[in-house]
This record gives sequence, structure tokens and C-alpha cells, in this order.
Amino acid sequence: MRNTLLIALREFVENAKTKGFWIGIFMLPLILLIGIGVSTKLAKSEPSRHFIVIDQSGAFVEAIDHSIEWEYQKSVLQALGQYAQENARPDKTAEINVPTYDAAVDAFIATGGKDAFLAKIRPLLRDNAPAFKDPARRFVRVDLPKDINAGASAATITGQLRPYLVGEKQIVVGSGHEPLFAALLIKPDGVEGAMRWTGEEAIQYWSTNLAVNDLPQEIQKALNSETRRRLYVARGVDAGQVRTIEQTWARLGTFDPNKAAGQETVSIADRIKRSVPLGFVYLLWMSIFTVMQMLLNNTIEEKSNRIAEVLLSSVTPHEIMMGKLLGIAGIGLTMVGAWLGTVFIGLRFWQGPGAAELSQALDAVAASGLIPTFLLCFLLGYLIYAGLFLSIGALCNDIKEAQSFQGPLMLIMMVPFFTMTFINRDPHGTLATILTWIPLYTPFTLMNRAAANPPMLEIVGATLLMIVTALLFLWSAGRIFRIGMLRAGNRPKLAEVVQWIRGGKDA
Amino acid sequence: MTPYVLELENVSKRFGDFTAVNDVSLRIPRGSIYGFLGPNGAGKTTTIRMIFDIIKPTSGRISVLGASSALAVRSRIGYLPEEKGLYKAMTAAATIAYFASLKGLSRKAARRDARSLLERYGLGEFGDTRIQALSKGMGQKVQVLCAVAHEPEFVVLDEPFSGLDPVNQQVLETLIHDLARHGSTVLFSTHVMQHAERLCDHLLLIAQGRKIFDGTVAGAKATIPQRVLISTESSIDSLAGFDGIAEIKPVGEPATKSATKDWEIRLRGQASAQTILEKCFQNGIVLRRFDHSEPSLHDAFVALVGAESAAGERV
Repeated sequence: MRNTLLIALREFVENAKTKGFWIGIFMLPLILLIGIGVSTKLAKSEPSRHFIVIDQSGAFVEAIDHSIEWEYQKSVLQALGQYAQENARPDKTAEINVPTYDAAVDAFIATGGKDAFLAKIRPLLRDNAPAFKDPARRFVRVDLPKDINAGASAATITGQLRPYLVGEKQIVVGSGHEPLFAALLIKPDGVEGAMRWTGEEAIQYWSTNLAVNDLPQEIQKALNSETRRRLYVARGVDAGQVRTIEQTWARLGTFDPNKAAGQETVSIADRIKRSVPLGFVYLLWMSIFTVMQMLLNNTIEEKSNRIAEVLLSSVTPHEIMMGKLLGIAGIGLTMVGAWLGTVFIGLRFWQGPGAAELSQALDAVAASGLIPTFLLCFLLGYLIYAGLFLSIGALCNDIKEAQSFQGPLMLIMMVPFFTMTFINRDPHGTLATILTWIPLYTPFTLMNRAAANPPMLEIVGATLLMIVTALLFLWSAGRIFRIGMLRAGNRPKLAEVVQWIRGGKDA
Repeated sequence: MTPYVLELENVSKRFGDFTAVNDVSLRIPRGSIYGFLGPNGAGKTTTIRMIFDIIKPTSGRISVLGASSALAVRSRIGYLPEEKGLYKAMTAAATIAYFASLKGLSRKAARRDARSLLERYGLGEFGDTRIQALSKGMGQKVQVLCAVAHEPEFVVLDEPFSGLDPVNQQVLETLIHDLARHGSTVLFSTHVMQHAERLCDHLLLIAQGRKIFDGTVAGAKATIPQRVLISTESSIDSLAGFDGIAEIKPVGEPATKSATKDWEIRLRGQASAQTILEKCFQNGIVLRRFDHSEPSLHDAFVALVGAESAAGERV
């Protein structure tokens, strides 16, 4: 026992000194931070895009302008909400609540927009709050270049616009030049053509960039509402009333019979909790395979550097193996602990949108059985894969040989990664059930299904399966390890290895 | 306490059809320096691995310090394997301390002893250097220190001199003498006969898995016949009939100008060089040179191994 602990201690200390360990510890939080930071920055730094509308029907341009402006006002309101949160007096934070649903945007525009809003919240802000900066407009409508006749035929106009659209020419905006992002051409029969096929598309959206679909969506929205408004008017329906009615949303309460009586309501926190296992599966996957790499490297180091023989004169193969398992498990748990800690602390202090729900969900996760399940899955999954990797380490003379094993192993390891979202969405489906009973995937699948309350029989059965598999794999690994550690030269054939496992016959 | 640190009784080891060690028996008394000699592939490393219970003998019995498995007395024995290797990223002092602590020393004592050992054998300034930054020879010295840091009663060093420069070979010889002086029994294998000749009280020689000699250095030399080298112008035909002489053969090319010839005379059994000299005088042979030197261990080794492999080929 003492030797096992000494070996475990050495494994822990030496691995904790490696760069890989510290990169591992800081990588995940760093990726999260950068991910959040970069996507926000990117969203903010997106350039304004210029587009042209040639509305020969004269029916839609106003609606489009209105729709684009409305979206812009919504982004202004969102920016104002964030600005208010960031600059509120500490005692006034709670009073700042800026909703951004559609009716709220309408009300914001109707009550005087930005200036009125700023005047209203001024008393809640710190004295030294910086001035509010308007968000950039994402889409700006510009006029047709002067050399193009807006009354010409559709074919002529698109022909003349082509060099602008493909980037050969730039349009004049104010005192500078800008690339033309898109052009919308509405033929004289646009109103008719919007509703039925007239032999040719009467409304045409031209752009080389098909990835940005907000603009066609906004245009579509404007076209829809204008077309419908005309239909309402034609049939004598009050369009204003329709709009009001359309903004009414029916209430739908969502309930989960698995929850305690009286508390069946499904809240946002519940929904978050439901997808939390996905995070845990990812964590499980990352942590198990990071430490497996360490286990493999260390085993091969002892073998290829001929350390095994000295060790074996002092300790039994069993003690070496157990020491390694323990030490590396310690490394893995430290890493996982650091990741979980960072995520929990990070979310706890998160002040952005949804902070209240997040914090509720965190409490729910902390109170649920998810963390113990995670630890169970980590430990058993670790032991199962450790049996596999220790055997490979003991069979290979150097890391190069091990890499030829790693190819197929990597394929096996990718399965939980690729299936995890499907299992999360359908936790009692065929895929989930099948993978639950494949020992290599049981830890990941069980973790994934944990929040969906799988049948008790499956939980118990899968846990037993993991325990039995772990014992079997470790027992075989022990046999292989004892013989393989001292063996040099050609890699043994599979039949030989099977004989080692069955007979325990040495060399 | 048994008077022997190591006893092997009819030990054999077979790997499939190949017999690596064949019916070896031996006893190593306490407090001796034992040389373990044999050509490549003779079964030395296999024997040593069996001594440490790293692999099991196919048949026979092994007793180390009275125990049937070396693992039972592992804190009292030390081992330097032939294939040397250490954890590359660990420092020299930490490495020695780690192996000493595996042998039962407390971690604190192990750290302290590691430092003093490094100091004593000229590596004091490298205590905090990682193994990968040490030269091969220094690394090997560290590994020898790993094997002896816990002051074992019985140490086996497999090829401890290979790869060391003459200065460090000397340091290692000192270390082996130090160990013996403190009461340890040392068994070491080597290919360099001078080391065996200088260090050993006893020799153990194996070839093709069999023990072919077990005894003192002088005993080993006594197994091969004495020989005398003479130079003379006279005819030596008159010596031929003497039954103390096993063989007479010319040495080298006869010099063209001088008539002086060199001869090697191999003696038979107990015949002494003195009687040959007398014979020469009696037969009027005029000697330019009469050279009687002890056979070297090298000669004994070659003769013994040669005889064994010849025997092996006959079987």
C-alpha cells in the first residue's frame, strides 16, 4: 500500500509539473472566455452593409424602410439596456429592467426613442457614466447610382448593377465609396407578383453573399406585412386592429410529471438544467481522454526508458499499476474540479442577460444528482479506459508504436462526441438505449440521460455493467502489464496477448 | 541468519523451446564481491531477473537473504539493470530519493541521503538537474546510486561499467569497494576482465545457460595450463619427449637475418616452469629469453568459454 501511494504521489507530482496539465486546466475556461468575448466583439464589429431598392411598383419601399428602421431601433434599445446595466448606480441596478420584445420596441419608438429613454433613466445612472454610443446600422439603404435609369427594364437594370454587386465597382455613399451588398428589384407588377407566379419573379433579391440572411429575412418580413395590409384593406378589415391582435400570444404552461406535485411547472431554469448533462458529457469526454494521454505517455516512458525493470525489483507490477491509476485519477479529478469550479464561479458572477435564470439553474444543478452522477461516470469511465490504455502502453515499445493503436481507438472515442446531442434530445430513444449497454459508451450515455430520469433498472444495470467492465479490463491489463512491461522487441501478436490474459504465462 | 546471501538450486528457465538458463546452482557467501561473467546471451540477465523475482524460473529454487522471493526482502537488496533508464524529467536528487523511498526509507531520510550520496560521488552540483540534462555517464552514476541509496545487504549490478569513462570507472570501483567495506555483498556482471580481476574475490562464469566455473580468481586461472615463452638459436627437439610438456609451437615468423626462434611451451598438469628451465640447461639449449608469466583472467575466460561452446556443439 505504501508503495502504491508513493508511486501515485510521484505520478501526480510529475504530471502536475508538465505544461500539458496546466494548459489543460486553463484551456477550457480560456476557450469559454474567448468564445464569449470574440463572438460579442465580432457581432459589434460587423460593418454596415449597403443595399439598393428599385421599387418600380412603388408599393413596398416604404414598408422596407420601416422594417429596417424598426430592427435598428430594436438594436438601439438592446444597447441602451446594456448601457443602463453597466452604468447604473449600485443601489439602482435592480430597478433597471429593459425588455426588448416586439411590443416593447413599438412602445420605445412611440414614446420618443433613444433621447426620451436616456432622459428617463438618467437619475438611475452613475454621475460619471460615459455618453451612450449609438450602435452601428447593420443595413443601410442607398440610392441607385446616377448612371442607372430606375425606369429601365429589369434585365437592363440588373445588367448595369452586376459590376457593383460582384465588387468591380463601388457605389458612392456620402463622400466615400462602399461595396454594394445587395439589390432588391421590384417590377411594376410587384404587388400582383408578390402573391402569385406571373411567369417571372416580380421581386428579385440579388447578392453574392448568401450567408448573411438577416437582410432578405427583414425584406421578406416587410413584403409580407405590406402585402397582407393591402389584402386587409381590400377586404375592408381594419389593419390596425389586426396588428394589435397579431401581437397577442396565447399562454402555454409546460409541465413535467417527473417533478414534485405542485412544482410541475417547467421554468427556464429547468430547461437549462435539462441541457446541462450535455456540458457534463463534454467535460467527461475531455477529461477522460486528456488523462488517458498522460497515462499512455507515462507507461510508455517507463517501458521505453527501461525504468520498469528497476521499479519491478522494488515493487510488484500490481503496485505500479495501482499507483499509476491512483496518481493519474488525482490529476484528472484536479483538472475536472478546476473546470467545474471556474464554470460555476464564472456563471455565479455573470451579470449579463439571463443572470437570474442562470443562477437559478446553477442552484438546481448543484442540488440535483448530476454532480454525483458525473463523478461516478468519471471514475468508472476512467477505470475502463485506463485498462485499455495501460495495456496498450505495456504492449508498445515507444510512442510511435502506440500511435498505430490510437487511430482505431480515436474512432471509437469519437462516437460519444458525435452522438451526444442526439442522445440529449431523445434520452429514451433507440440510440440512447443501445449506447447505454455498450460498456465503452455507458459512462457518457448514462451521464447524458441523467437529467431525463431514465428507468431505475437501466441506471442500476448500466452502473453494474461499468463496474464489471472496469474490473475485467483492469484485471486483463494487470496480466498484460506484468508481462508486457519487460518485453522488448517485436510487438506481440494478438493471439499471444490473449494467451497472457488467459494463462498469465510469462513472456 | 543464513551464511549465504543468495542460493540457487538447479534453476532453469525456458522460453518456449529456448533454454536460457540450464540447471544452475550456486551459493554466494556474505560479504564478498562476486563477478558474474559470461559471453553475450549466456543467460546473465535472465538469471538476475529470476533472482529479483521479476520473472519466475521454470524449475529450481532461489533463495535471497533466506527468503524465497526477493520481493519479501526488497528493502535489503539493490539492483542496477543492464538496460539503464530513469525518468527524464525528474531531478537527480529526486530520482535517487524516489527509488530509496520505494525501498522503505522515509521520504525525508531518502531526500537527505540522496544529497549526501551525490556529494560523495562527485555529482553534488547536479542534484537539482533534470536527468535529461545530464550526460549519459552521469545518468548512469545516478542510477548506480539509486540502486545503493538504501544501503542494501546485497547489490546486483548488471554491467555497471559499460559506457563510463576511465575516471568514472575508477569512481565506481571505489563505490563497490565502499559497499563491500560496509558489509554489503556485491554481485556484478561485466565483460571487462580487468575490472573482475581487480575487484572480485569470487567469479561465477556461465555460458549457454550453464555454470562453467564458480570459484576464486586464482582458481579460474589455474584451470588453464601454464605456459612458457622461450627464444633460442638452438634446436629444441630434445624437449619434445618430456612428459611435463603438452605442446610446443612456434610463435610468429622466424626473423630472416637471425637464427633466433620464439617458441611457446604449454605445460601439462602440475609441471612447473622451473623444471622446463632445468631441462633446457641439461640439453644445452642456449636461451635468449625465458618468460614465464601467469595466464590472465582473459585467457582463462576464453579457454573456459571456448571449451564450453565446443562441448555444446558436440552435444
